[in-house]
Amino acid sequence: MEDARGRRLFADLNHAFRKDPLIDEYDFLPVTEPQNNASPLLLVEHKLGLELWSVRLLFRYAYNRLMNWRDRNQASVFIDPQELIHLSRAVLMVNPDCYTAWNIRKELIENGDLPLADDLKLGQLILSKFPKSAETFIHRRWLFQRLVNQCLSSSNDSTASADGHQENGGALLCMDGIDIALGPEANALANGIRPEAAAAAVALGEGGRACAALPLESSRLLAENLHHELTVCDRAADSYASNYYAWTHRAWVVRYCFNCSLQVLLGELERTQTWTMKHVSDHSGFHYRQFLLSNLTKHAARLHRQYAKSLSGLVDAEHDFICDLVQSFPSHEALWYHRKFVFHLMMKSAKTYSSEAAATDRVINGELQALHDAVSKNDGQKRSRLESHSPHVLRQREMDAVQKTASQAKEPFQKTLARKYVEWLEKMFPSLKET
Amino acid sequence: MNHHGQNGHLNHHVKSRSEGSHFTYDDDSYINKKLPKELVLRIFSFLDVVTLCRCAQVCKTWNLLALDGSNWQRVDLFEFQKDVEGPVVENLSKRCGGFLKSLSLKGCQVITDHALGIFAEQCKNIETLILNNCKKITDATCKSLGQYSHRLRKLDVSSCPNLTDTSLQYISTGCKNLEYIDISWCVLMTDEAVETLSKSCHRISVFICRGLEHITDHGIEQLAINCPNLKKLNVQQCQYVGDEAVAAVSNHCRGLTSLCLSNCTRITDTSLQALGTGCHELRTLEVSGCNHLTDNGFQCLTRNCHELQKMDLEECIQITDTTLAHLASHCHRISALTLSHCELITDEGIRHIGASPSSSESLTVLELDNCPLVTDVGLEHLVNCTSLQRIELYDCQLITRAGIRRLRNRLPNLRVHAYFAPVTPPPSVGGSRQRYCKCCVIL
Repeated sequence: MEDARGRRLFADLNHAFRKDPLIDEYDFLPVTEPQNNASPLLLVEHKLGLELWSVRLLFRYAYNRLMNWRDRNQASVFIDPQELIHLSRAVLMVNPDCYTAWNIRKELIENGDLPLADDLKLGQLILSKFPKSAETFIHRRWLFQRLVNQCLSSSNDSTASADGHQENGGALLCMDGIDIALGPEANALANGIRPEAAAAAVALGEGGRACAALPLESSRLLAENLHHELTVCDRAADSYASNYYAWTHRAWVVRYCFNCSLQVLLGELERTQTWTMKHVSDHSGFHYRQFLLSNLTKHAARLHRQYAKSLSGLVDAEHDFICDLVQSFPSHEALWYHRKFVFHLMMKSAKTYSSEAAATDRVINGELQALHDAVSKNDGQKRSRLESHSPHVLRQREMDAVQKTASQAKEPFQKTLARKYVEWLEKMFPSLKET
Repeated sequence: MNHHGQNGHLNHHVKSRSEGSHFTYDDDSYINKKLPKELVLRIFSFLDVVTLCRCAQVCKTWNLLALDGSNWQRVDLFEFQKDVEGPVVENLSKRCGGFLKSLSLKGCQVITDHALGIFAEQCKNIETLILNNCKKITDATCKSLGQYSHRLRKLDVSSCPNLTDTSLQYISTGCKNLEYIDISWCVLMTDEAVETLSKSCHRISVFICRGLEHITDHGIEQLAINCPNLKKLNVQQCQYVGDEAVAAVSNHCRGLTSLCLSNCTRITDTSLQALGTGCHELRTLEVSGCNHLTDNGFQCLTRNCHELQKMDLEECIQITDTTLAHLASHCHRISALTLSHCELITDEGIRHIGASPSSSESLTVLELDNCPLVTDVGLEHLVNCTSLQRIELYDCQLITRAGIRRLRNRLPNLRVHAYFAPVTPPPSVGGSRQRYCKCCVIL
């Protein structure tokens, strides 16, 4: 009897997906006993609800059947790929941390039985219920890795041919176009994203375009899904506090799929600002911004050349942002930690800044300044700016600001945090007093 | 007679192989001294593939005897589907040669044309060949089959998506004795394939072509005209097959016993009328998802086809209790009836089924899921169906626990499928209940 119901529930689930392929969210409804003889699956406006009593039956049926097939316990178990897809879907929707089911799906993808896009969709659906499922993120990384590799092999193969260049652009264009204004160099950047790939393509020479269809398809998929992936991470982070899995995954996407393109880094910096403002006690978001900032630090020169943005300007802006948050939302430790990071970064860049030849600085500064105001008295400003960025001044200013916060704060915890910050400042940057 | 002949041939065969090794130790073992080779061979002929392979590892004599072709007349490699590769089939066909009569490679996806080409050449006496889901094979396989396998009677190439019309051309030139063919999901097949095949293989009695979008009325018409022996026809989900095809079938194939038209949405009452006039032997009719069918059609059908045993009327959304009344009064052999999603069915219809003179003996399966108008009162009408084994009541929202319990009390061996947790069986089978609960705990 139990068995029979599981089978039916599985059929019901498949029917629901057939009826509405756009299901984008699901959850378990707290109904522990069947009230009447009605299907426990509710489908309203692309949202699916499963009554709780049915979940166990469904899972047991799908899991046992899948595992029997996997173990070859009964030699007669023959399940065609389509049913395997459905079975693993049912299993994963209840327990997304089932490695075996994910692995079965990986094999199905490799065999060409399961379109990769479908799996991305399933992962997204599962994240709506289990936003912190590590296995789901791991599987998504596998999918993207596969996509990116297919794209790269296509661009390797086809650069040599006549219209190969266009394809190459197509394959890689997906990596830019994030929500910030595109500079004129955007295309140059996009093509420069994977210099090693281009080099390899040149070295390979005639690659032939025999299997161009598959890579083309995958590059289209990649283009469609990469930016969407950031939204998926957004949603996962929204629905579960301190969701480091989501943020780590996001960082991976930026690093691996976008190859840390400056454009994406800048866009992400802007995009996550509102999120962090809304989640002031959640360090995970700030940690992601720290990842973005430290990656931007590595490409300060290119940042300046291509986007006319100075790193110090970005770090300053971040510092202003975090100081503002510290003031507005007292007693949140996460904010203070982020402030520590930002200030540390400021000091680091200030040191390199002051050690650089002042002449080049002046030139760069002059150009920058000329963009903003063409007033001739910028010489004085320049000097003051240079001075204001010396480590000594910075430290003093930070010290004063924090001490002011400490004295003004009404909340005892905010005072403690400010005091700790001062202690940290003194410990980290003691030698600067002499300079 | 035949057997004798075979053995004689085998003895010679065995001798010629072991001639060079006269002084091997296999002669030492007692069992081989006592038991004549013919008997060992006879014993081996009852063993399955796995056991034969084990026996082949015992000693040289046994190896020769176990791997002798006569033991390998029927081979089913389905259990090893993933592991079977080309060389396995090649070696097998070399070993078995003319002995092999039946081979199933169901689900062996890596098998290629090359292996099957060698197979066709070696095993010319093959009669049954199952190649379901051998996704890599192409027309070349069918070419070699057509060239060598003249005795082929049953061929299943379902879910081999690379096969085209050319395949069936080869088959039709070579395999004139074909009786059973399954080309389901070979999506490239068209009417032309069916036509050429039916024109030269007149003995076809089973024709299965599920899910083929290029098959139309014309193809099925040709099949019906050329193969009057057709017993079983399955055109499930061939959406371009309609009334004309069914009319031709009922005109020419009077002996048809099984027909599946599920999801052929063009089918109307005309088809049912045609079947009523022509195919009186019909036993199985599946028309799930044919939503144009109405009570009138079923009236004509049931008045003439009294042999009907299995009917699948899932999602024939227009039918009402009237159909059930006709069915109950004319067809007394109904054993399985599916009425899922027939939303107009009420308790009255169930009463007809329950009151039918045959219901107590023959009816074993009744599927009523998603019939929203059926209530507990309807179940009361079924208490006389003593041979009923299974009843589906999923999503009949007016059915209550109490109603199911009452039915179970009258029919204790009935399996009731509903969303409710299974009802407790009556006390007479208390022992089994205990066991059942233990399983539950373990699970």
